[in-house]
Amino acid sequence: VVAVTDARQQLFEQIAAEVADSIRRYALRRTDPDTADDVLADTLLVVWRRLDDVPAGARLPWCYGVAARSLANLNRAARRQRSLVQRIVRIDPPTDTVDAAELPDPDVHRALATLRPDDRELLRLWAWEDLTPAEIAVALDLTPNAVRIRLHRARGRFAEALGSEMRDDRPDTTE
Amino acid sequence: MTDPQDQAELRLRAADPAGPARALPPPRVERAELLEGIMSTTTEAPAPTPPPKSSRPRWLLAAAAVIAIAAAGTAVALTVDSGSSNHPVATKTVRTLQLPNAGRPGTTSCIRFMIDILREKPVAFDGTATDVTDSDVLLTVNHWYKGGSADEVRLENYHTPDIALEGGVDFRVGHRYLVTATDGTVNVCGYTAEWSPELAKSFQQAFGG
Repeated sequence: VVAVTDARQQLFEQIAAEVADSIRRYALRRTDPDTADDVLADTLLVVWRRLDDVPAGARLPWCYGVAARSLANLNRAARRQRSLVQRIVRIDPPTDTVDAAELPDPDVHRALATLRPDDRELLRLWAWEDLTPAEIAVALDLTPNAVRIRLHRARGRFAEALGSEMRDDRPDTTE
Repeated sequence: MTDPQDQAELRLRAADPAGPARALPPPRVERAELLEGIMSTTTEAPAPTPPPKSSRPRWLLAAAAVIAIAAAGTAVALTVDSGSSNHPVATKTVRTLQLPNAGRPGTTSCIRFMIDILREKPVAFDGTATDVTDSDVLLTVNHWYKGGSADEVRLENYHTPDIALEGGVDFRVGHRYLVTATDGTVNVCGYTAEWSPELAKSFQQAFGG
């Protein structure tokens, strides 16, 4: 039993060392630092509990999938708490929590914000998490082929959206 | 590079708000401490819910709750509704719960308070402290939200000077508290605290009255 426990711990520590920084960056791209820490803790806890389910060849993409669900849960809980505790009656679209103006190249972030959430997530996983379509497929539970097709379209939409952001910037720069 | 799509994608990659070249904010919990806390949790799922197929992993929240408990340095002990048997004239039932051990190394971090985690606490009540000693706190129960019916609850293992534990509670006679417990041990990290309208609202929301 001790040997099994040691082996489990060793494997867990190895996977954690491999994925923890990337998961933290993944979460920081999508939420505030505090919630990002929660996402990392949730994700690693799931890794620990489901050690045998973590696919050897796609550990990080699998963990991104877990992190995405954790983030969705945390955001839902936070929204519920906000609306019930403060009784704020307003429609609060679940877009990025970060202010585009504070990010590097605000036009890019504004363009991203105009896209559908699915497209946005595909582009981030591809450009920022640097995943291949096959890896994105693991993270989003899609087929690689579906990812390729959707990614191709999302890239086109993003280029258009960025072009239109830049056109919007041009005519009136005094604002 | 003149293709607008290539240009757009170069800018997209460069605009990564948490890219490898960027410094990250310091984590709330040191990595080694986090891993230790996780490995100290049981690998058995705490709830009988089967693992999720895809969308709504309720057990994830349960798992997060386990982290909160483990991270707070929980000692597990349980004594239920003692009192009536030895005292033929006793009219009040007293239940005993343990306070967690403070100051266990590497275990003093809390994860964020969440209604979903609160909801899964098996024991929850509203009580007023009527006696506080060096080691015990006696609470008269104003209202049981969940998991009990005793008139009074005795919290054992109270160490006044050790409340430096993150999320710990300072009990004072006459003050009112909202308390939750799991496996006979009081949950800290915001899941037990002095009564406030906000926390009372959360309890109501989690336990429905």
